[in-house]
Amino acid sequence: MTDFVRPNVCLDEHLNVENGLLQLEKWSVPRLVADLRAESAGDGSLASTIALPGKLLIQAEVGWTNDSPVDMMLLIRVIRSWRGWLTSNPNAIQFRDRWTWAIDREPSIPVTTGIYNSQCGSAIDVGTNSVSEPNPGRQWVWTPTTMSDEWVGPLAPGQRLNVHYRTYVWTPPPWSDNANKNSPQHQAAARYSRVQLQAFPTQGSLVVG
Amino acid sequence: MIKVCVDDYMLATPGAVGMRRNWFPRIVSERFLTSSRDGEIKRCPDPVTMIEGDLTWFNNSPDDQEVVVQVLRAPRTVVAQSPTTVVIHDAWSHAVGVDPTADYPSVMQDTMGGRMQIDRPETVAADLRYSRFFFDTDTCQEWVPIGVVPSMQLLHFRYIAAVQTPGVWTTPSEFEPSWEAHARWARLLAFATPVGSK
Repeated sequence: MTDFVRPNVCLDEHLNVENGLLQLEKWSVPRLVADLRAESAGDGSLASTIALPGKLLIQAEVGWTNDSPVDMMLLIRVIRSWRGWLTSNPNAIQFRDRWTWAIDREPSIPVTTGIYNSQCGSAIDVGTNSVSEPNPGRQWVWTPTTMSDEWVGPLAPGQRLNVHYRTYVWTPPPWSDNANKNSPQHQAAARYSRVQLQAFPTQGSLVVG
Repeated sequence: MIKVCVDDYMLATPGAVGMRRNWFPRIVSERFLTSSRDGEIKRCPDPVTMIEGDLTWFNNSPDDQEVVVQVLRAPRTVVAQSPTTVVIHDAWSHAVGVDPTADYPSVMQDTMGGRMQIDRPETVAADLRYSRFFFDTDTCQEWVPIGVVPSMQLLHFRYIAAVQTPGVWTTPSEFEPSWEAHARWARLLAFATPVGSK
């Protein structure tokens, strides 16, 4: 029999005692809980694609179920690879991407026709000659890796966040079949996008303030 | 029932011991700013403001907080006519104190835009050859470290986006020119975390 009293202190959802040691729970710090790199399935030469949403390049689906006893705020992080394209006078190339999310159900398909998160692309128009052929002219562009975050939540214990992501490429009209003086050359590469979910804990219900 | 003494970022209440709200990394303040000037533009040798706004956050917790402001920018678009240039700059500034006012954000932190020139850089309107440049860039973000916002002090963060047409400018007389700039929006998010032990 011990001759001291072991004090009993109530702890909130972020602390526990294991083997007599007070410690933080694993969910009490920000965690990377999903990380998916989705490769483009359609990089390469591009034909006339003047109807939205265009050619599907990348799609990704990630999700996470809150495995903790407290609400979580979720950071959806989208990282786009560098992108590159080649277009011919006067045609345009544009990438669009979008993500959708929903809690405890499947989100809508992130089609980029109307609403979308981002766009990237270009065109040069250097005019036509006397017989209405587009003048020779090509444009090569590379854009750097970019990142976009969206904070969503709170996600209650046991709830699941589902995220869908897509990248499309299209050729905003009009389209000239005899671009670059009858030598049309069009290429587009989105390479990959990476979708991450990070779970940020919030305060529990036992200690508030 | 024993109430224990706790360190910063913790709280002992009659119910239990746990982490204070200010211990959790979290978004504490948010502003969504929209452009007031998207669309056709004219010559602007000096930057003309498209988006302007600020964000404030008062640390009413008993502990210091490390703050980072996240600047999320919309996809940006420019249209430029040979031989002229169209760029969109953006800039930010901040101050922390009891009653701070951040300086006007005059140092450009980031730029997108472009120029194309076909043939010679004619300065005679009637000699210009037609060519036009269209460019969209993806949405992107920047994490701006603010440092420590002490307890009972305020953060003031300012943001601007501005369009500029630096350099040569000739308006063609033989065809219809077009210049455009779209900055769309910017979102400011203040992200606060506890200060690590020194």
